[in-house]
Amino acid sequence: MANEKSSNLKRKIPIFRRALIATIKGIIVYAVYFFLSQFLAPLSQFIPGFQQIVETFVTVYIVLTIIAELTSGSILQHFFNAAKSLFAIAYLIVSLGTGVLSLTFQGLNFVVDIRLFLAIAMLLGLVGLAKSVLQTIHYLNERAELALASPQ
Amino acid sequence: MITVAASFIWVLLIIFSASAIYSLKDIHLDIGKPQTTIAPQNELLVEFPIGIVNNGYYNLNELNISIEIHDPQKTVLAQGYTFIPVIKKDETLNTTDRMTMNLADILQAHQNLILNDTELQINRTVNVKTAGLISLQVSSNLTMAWGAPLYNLTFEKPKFTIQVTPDSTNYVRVTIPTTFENHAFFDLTGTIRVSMYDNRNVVTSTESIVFNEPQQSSYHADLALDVPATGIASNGYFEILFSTPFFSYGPLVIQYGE
Repeated sequence: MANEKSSNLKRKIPIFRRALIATIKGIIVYAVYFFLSQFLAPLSQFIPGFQQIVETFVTVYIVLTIIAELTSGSILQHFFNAAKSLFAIAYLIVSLGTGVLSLTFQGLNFVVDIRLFLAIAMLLGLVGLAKSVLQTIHYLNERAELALASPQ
Repeated sequence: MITVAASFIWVLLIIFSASAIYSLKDIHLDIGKPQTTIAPQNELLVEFPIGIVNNGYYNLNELNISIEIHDPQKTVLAQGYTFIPVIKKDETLNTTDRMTMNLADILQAHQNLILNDTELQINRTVNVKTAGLISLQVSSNLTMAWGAPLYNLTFEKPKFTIQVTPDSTNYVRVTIPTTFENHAFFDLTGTIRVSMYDNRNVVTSTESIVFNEPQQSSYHADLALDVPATGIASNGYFEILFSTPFFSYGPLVIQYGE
């Protein structure tokens, strides 16, 4: 009986650990967003719908971060990490388009060219994607090595 | 490690970009109303006072101000460019963008501007790079009133009056009452050349009338020419040609007789 309880606890500890790490990561991402939102908030005056775009991005990003962490130790973690990177790239493309934004404010036409920012952000997204792919390969490699080491 | 580095770069990139865009609101660019003067060689000098106050977080680089003046048909009449390599943070710059318009060329090419008041379109475009990362283009339109030098030019019906000189020579004095308003921003001096032709296209008389019309004033005068009574045909026409340092306009044709 005591052994069964101990075994249950041992099984639950990694789940709690993953849940805790997922929570902490989610909080960290949200804290970063909260910090950056102080800088981004004034932009909402000039770009309509900007706040909503950022909030949607952060929400999906936090969800993917938490799911990836909860599924850590399995191949799904790497899928979700890759999905997170792809989502960041795709969302930047969808929301910023070609990187040349046009808006009209107080009778003036503004054209803001943020292509350089977009290029750097894309590269960072690609770095994240490459990291996820390499981690997946490494994970599969380890699995294959374990399978070879224990033929039964 | 890669995750931490990438996250750090992400945060830096977002802070940098957001602050660069946000600091644009602390840049005050003031392009004043155009001031026009007549330069030598009858060129119209248009000056735009430009004031830039950079209270943003970053230097402004490659500031390029271009101003174009169009007529209502969107034809470019004049262009001016001002390039400022750098405006440092907390720096104020006052300059003037000057452009010259060759009035003779413009009025010769766009004769509707001689007769009609209109609104010229001024397109102002400012290109600037801030923080070396973000380019901004701001454009706006405004209008500038153009006053026609021969606004509302009208010729009344020619009047013929028989005159007798002391030596009993009869001649006919032909007068054409003429009016126009000089709405231009320059004084208008020149000559009006009137030629009378008979029905065989032969010149019967020619006269040149000098006029000097200050800006924003009306011209009322009779264009008069004397024709020998024997030279008057039953019908014919007058040709009227305006010659000024800024433009030549005409010949305008006025028919007379049956």
